[in-house]
Formats: sequence, C-alpha cells, structure tokens
Amino acid sequence: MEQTAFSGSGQLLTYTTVWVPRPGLEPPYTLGQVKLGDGPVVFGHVRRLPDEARVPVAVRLVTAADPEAVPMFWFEPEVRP
Amino acid sequence: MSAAVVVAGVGMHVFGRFPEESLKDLARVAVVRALDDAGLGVKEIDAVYSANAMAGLLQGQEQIRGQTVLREVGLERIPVVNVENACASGSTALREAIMVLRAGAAERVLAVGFEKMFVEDRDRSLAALESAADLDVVGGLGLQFTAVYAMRLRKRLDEGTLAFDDLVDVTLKSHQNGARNPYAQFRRELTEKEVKSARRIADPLTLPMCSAIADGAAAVVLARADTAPSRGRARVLVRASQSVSGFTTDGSPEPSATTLCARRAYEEAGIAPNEVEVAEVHDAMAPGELLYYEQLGFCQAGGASELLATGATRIGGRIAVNTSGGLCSRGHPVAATGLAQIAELTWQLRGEAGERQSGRPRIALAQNSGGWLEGESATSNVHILERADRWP
Repeated sequence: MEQTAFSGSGQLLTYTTVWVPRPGLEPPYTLGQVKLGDGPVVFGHVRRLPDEARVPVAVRLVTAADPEAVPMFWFEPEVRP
Repeated sequence: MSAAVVVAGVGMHVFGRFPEESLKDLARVAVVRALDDAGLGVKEIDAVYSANAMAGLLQGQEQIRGQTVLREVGLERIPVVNVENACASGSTALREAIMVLRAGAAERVLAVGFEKMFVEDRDRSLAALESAADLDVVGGLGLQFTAVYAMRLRKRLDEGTLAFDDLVDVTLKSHQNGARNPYAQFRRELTEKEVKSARRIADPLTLPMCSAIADGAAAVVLARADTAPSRGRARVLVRASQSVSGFTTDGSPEPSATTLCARRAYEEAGIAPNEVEVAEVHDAMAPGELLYYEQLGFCQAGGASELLATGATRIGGRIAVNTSGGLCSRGHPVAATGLAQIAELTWQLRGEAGERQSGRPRIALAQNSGGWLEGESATSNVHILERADRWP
C-alpha cells in the first residue's frame, strides 16, 4: 500500500442542498460529487456555491483550521462569485 | 442444463408502521402466506435464504436473524442462510435460492426478507441507512439515499434531459398505483400541488418523491419446475437471475451497474428489452424510475421523459412500471423490497393483481439496487420472470 496525493481542485459534477438534520449538521447543507483532477470521484460538502449554480463548476478543496471540525474538509467554487 | 425454477408461491405483510409487531410477527405473516399460496407446509421446505439489512443496528440482533425468526414458523432443522446486501438483500436471497435449486441441491426453497425500521429514535434509523456506503470514505457527511438520488437527478435537470415536471409526474403515477395496492404503505393519490409544495428533502426532491422509513416483510417460495406442486393456475418461470456489484469510477462515461446487470439478464433469458411488459424497479425516490427506464433499455438514453409522457409505463401501458406503487408508495422496508417486487410481478403474470392488473403480461422484470459506492450502486440485481402458460 502506498499513499497517493490527489489534486486539490476538480469539477463539481452535481450537488444537492439537504434539508434533513443529522447529528452535528444543521440544515440546509450542500453535498456534492467532485471529480478530482486526474483522480477519483468523491463526495463532500460544498460551501459558497451561488444559488441555482449549474454544473459542472470548478471547485477547490478547503480544509478546516480546527482539526476537530465536522466536516474536516469541503469544496468551494474556484472563482468566487 | 440446470433445472428450470418456478415461483411457487408469494406472500407479504403489509408495509407501514407497526410498533406492536416484532420482526418475528412481520416475517411470520409473509412466510405463512407464501407457503399457503404455494400449497406447501413448512416440512416441505428444503432450505431458506433469509434477508435482513438493519436488525443488527436497530434491534441488536446482529447474528442468526433468520434462525430466530423462522423457528417461530416451524422452519427448523434445515439450512438457513442469512443474507445482507443493503436494499438489494431480498433479491440477493432470491438469487441464492434460485442457484441452489439449479444446482440440484434442493427442490423447494424459501426466500424471505423482513425489516423493522421504525425505532424510537429516528436518527438511529438514518444512521443505519447511511451504513449502506463505504464509511471510510463518506462517514459523517450526512449522505443519505435521498441526497444520492437528488444528485443523480440534478445532473439530468442541468443537462436538460429531464424536467422538474417529469419528477412530479412520475411521483403522481407512483401514488396512483400505490393507492390501488392493499399492501402499500401510502395508499392515497396526491395532487400536483401537494407534490410540488411539500417539504423539501434534498433539492430537487420533495417529501412525497421519497420512500420513507417502513416495517414489513415479503416471502417467495421457489421450486424446481419438474417437482413443483400444481395449483391449477399459470406457472411463473424464472428466466434470468443476475447480480452485479458496484465499482470505483473515475467519472468517465461508462455503463452503470444496472445497465450491465440488465444486459446479462436479457442475454440469459434470450429476450429483448422491448418484450418486457411489466416491471418493478428500484425507485427509492420516485423519479429514480426515470433513470431506470434508460438503464433497463425500455427507451434510449435521454428518452425517459418522452416514455413517461406517452403513458406507456402506466398500468395498462406497453411497459407498465411499478404497478405496486414501487418503493416510494408501496414502501421500502429495506430487505423486504426485492421480494415484494417478485410478489407483485407474480400476481401480474397470473392475472391476480386486482385493480392494478396491467393487461395480460407474459414477461416481467424486477430490478433491485443496494447501497452505493462513490459513483454507483454497490449492488444491482435483475430477475426476469415468464408466464409459462397461455392466457385463456
């Protein structure tokens, strides 16, 4: 087994705004499916997405400053609206 | 040539919320009804494949779920195999039962699925559902089935190959059919306004578009065709039984797990998609039915909206889909679903579906998905059934 670093940017392929509360997650929050650079497709939270954004959207990975934060990472649009 | 297999009997416990009934109570009703329908007693069953997905987390019965439930019915001293494949557990048990019959290791086998999802704390049910994914990858994201389907549909709405009104129309159809099914959890027709203005769950999905938490059970007795009891009615043959696991995807265009599974099933049965006359598909969210039209070959890619608009998938149409109301309206007690699909199709093929009867079908297809990996269902199972005798 070896560690592989994926690109920190990619394309948001699709997303949804969720209105159902889950422990530690206050709705609404946005989940997205992201194709990372040359890497895999992953799910993650998405923030700062403009209303009615149409996919695909270029996004970059952002990590939380607090290592205990939930979620630990999320995606934001590459260019702020 | 392996032995031909028939569906000898089917039975269900109505789907819904049953706080007073245990897993044993739910399963007993479905099993006894299926045995009665087959004209068989418990002593005539050679083996059982028992499906349940969530009793470990929700009831604490992590192990021997089948044996604990089935001894109550008198199914003892035979092989009982416990099967789990998330929402596809029921159809996976069915496939195992078919294979043991084809292998000649048994003559009469029961497949049963039971689930009790209503517990006091709804968050426990949602957490159990979220475990149908790779938690190393998505744990803690709050990623529900609803969000996965919502994302699949959003892509199509943005592409312009589906419209929000299509999502509403197929949801109305689901509830129209469910209203005619005495085993359904939701038995009320809805108006367009009710669907559109309902509480938002995961955009673009509203509450009535989504299957809900449910309790229930379903059972199917399978038998070798040459030794199955004759009940003086049309025989229902198993023409194909296929299963495909999900895979890691890099996002490039490729056939879905269901597309692959359906191709293999059509090949096994030697039939074309346009020969299917009635189908039950895994619409955990009612609009998911539209995606399956394409993956199962009922129409071309991008043709789902048009197929729905023609009315072909309504009861009485050329290819009636989810006459039972599907997961969304009949209900989706996870491990019971795949076997409830077979019960509905068997009733359709025999002409016993009452006010849901869709013409005089000969070929029926069931598609059941389970869990998800990042871009795909973790399991997709497809079964094809045939009415072996002519309609009178």
